[in-house]
Amino acid sequence: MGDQTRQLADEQAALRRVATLVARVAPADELFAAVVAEVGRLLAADYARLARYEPGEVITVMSTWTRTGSQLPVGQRLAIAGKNVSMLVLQTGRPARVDDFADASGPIAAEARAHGVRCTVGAPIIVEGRVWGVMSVGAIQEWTPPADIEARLASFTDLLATAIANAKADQELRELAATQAALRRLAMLVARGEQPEAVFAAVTREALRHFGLGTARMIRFELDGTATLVANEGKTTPDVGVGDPWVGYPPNGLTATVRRTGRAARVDDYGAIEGGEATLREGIRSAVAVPIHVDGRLWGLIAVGPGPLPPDLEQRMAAFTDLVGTAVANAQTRAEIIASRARIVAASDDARRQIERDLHDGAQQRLLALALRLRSAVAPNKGDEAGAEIMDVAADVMAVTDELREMCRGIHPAILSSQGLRPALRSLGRRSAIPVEVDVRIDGRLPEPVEVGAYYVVSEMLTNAAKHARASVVEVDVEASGARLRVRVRDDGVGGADSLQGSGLIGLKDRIDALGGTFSLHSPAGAGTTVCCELPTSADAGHTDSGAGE
Amino acid sequence: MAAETFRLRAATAPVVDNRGMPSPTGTGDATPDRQRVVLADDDVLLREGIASLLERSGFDVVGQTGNAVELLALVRSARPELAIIDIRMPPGHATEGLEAARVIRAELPGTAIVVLSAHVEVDQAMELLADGERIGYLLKSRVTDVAAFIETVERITAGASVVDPSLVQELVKARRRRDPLDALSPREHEVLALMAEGASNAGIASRIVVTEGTVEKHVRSILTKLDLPESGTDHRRVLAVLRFLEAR
Repeated sequence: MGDQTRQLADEQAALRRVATLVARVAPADELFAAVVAEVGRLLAADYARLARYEPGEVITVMSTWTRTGSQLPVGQRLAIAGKNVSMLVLQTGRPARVDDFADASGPIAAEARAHGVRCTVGAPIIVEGRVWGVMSVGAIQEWTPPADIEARLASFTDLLATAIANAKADQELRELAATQAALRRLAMLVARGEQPEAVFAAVTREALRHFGLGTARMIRFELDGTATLVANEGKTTPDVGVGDPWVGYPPNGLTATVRRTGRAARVDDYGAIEGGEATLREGIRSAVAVPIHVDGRLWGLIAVGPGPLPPDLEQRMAAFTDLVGTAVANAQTRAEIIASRARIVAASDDARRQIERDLHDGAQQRLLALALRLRSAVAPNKGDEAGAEIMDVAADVMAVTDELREMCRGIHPAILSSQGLRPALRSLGRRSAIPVEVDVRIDGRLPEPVEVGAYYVVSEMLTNAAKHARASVVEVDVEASGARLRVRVRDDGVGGADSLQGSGLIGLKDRIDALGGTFSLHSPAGAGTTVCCELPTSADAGHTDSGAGE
Repeated sequence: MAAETFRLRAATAPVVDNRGMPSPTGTGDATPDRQRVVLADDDVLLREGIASLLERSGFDVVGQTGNAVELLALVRSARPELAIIDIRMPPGHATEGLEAARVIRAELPGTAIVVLSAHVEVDQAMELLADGERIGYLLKSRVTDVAAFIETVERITAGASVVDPSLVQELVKARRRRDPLDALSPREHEVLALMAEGASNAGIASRIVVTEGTVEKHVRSILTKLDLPESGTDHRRVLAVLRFLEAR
């Protein structure tokens, strides 16, 4: 009776001490050290250990206690493969014991045998429904664990679980608040219309501040397979300048791995990977990178390092970079809109200049010359020649009007406004220097900007096919269905057209973008050129005819 | 909208015995009476120019206007043999002339119609021709070749349907991957284009300087090679050839 009462009183006292620490929100290491010591003493074990499960059947030792006071390594990562308490607890989510290490296996059992451990008992720490860790006690000497040891361990692990859950929630809250503050700052930057380069630098600075490591870098993947260092913040400076091509990175380093897998990557030791010397020389031994996706496309990465790198760093960074992707997309979209506006204005100015030049060098000059000829035709000494001369002038005047008519067609095809897209495209096809097969499936008329946009896509592609593509046929396929107009122009020419080269194609993309459509160019060398675009045809894409819906 | 006055010329008021009668037949230049014309074009200078050349060429211009509404009123009251209509007029400057032509065709099918346009389009041509014969669809600039223009207008009032050669050229010259026209000889190409412009066999014969019998042979060969039906009239032939060329 006395023994049992004292035991109970001891246990209550131990639990009370632990509960006080939990209530005080003591630092994790202090709490963990207290718990392992209380549990070890209370259960008369030789040692006690608290460990956390990591992904991939690994534990990290968080705290240990021994009867003799000798130190066991903390922070050690151990694989739990084999038959042992850590594995059993993880698998079952329940307390487990190993009485005889003779039939235990794996590195943990080997270590236990090396220390002469005879018996171990463990209980799970379950946080938010998941087995977060394991509290185990064991003995080296002959030791009969109390019969209700599992239940007694559980009363401590429950307290620990509560403390961890609270700490975790608190940590998450703080992290969320920090993330949101960082994003608010980034959003302000984007809204103020800062250059993308400034936004990249700010984002990288935020990542550095947020994760508290030495250096952060942002690297952008270019369409041609190269990469660019777009921001570098922190202690070290790479050989590559900001804005320059990011070259010479290790084949299995962060850049190569993220680009290849589209997922987060980690290097624990640059000394151990091929080509990692340069990074190591910078003083970066370990680093983590997470991908940045913009509009669903792998855009680049943010890397931070050197360590200590917490095991969940990738996850925490991913939550951050999701939102960073949005900031980058906004900055980029804004920059593209500004560039495209500038190009549209420039294109319109160019077109006016071209019209002025055509009129000045063409019609105007010729009309002047004809006026002179008319004046000389009626000179007194001309006599009978005058009639023939005037007829000649009349014929030339007709040639000038033909020229003007063709110019007008180039400025705006009247057939488009009067007859609609199908007749206009068929007429365009007939006038092409190479055979064009036109298939247009549209009922009625579409908003004028959509018709004009589609017309110029086809017109530009036919010009391109005739001038550069050395094509023998062009297929034009246009279909309106739902609230979209799809246009596809395909030639069988030499391909290799670049949407960014040649103002014609970029002008088309600007026009289609301005209509809220999509524009894609596929032009592999030797396999023809295909342009596909889709345009919204709903009322807000432009004005519609009033007869719609009847 | 500009309230432009239109006028009916009292001096050349309709001759009673011609009124309401079917249009005169024959080759045009043989018609003893002056053909009465109504002219609609919002470009006053050009309209006056056309009016004076028509007057000089033996036509009687009985009315002029600059918009489609007045045109209809004029045609209904004056009952001319011919209406020459600019396709693009106030208020919309779109295809008002085309609409007016359709109304005239429905109300007074005997009236010959010439539609003038700054540019010619195949769909408009077929729309016009589908309403019946005695139709011309010409580039505005054709009026400057006075002799050819008068000859064309006379053929139209005499019953022919005429399509501007530039439109036919666009259709004939369009390149196709598997072109049925490749089966035709160069001479047949030429004949086909003239058929599409609305020339009769006699007209084609005089244009390419061969006998009418030779032209008939060419026409039969073309129809066979292109798998086109023998058509009764020149008008239906124009429509069939245009339709074929457009769909090719």
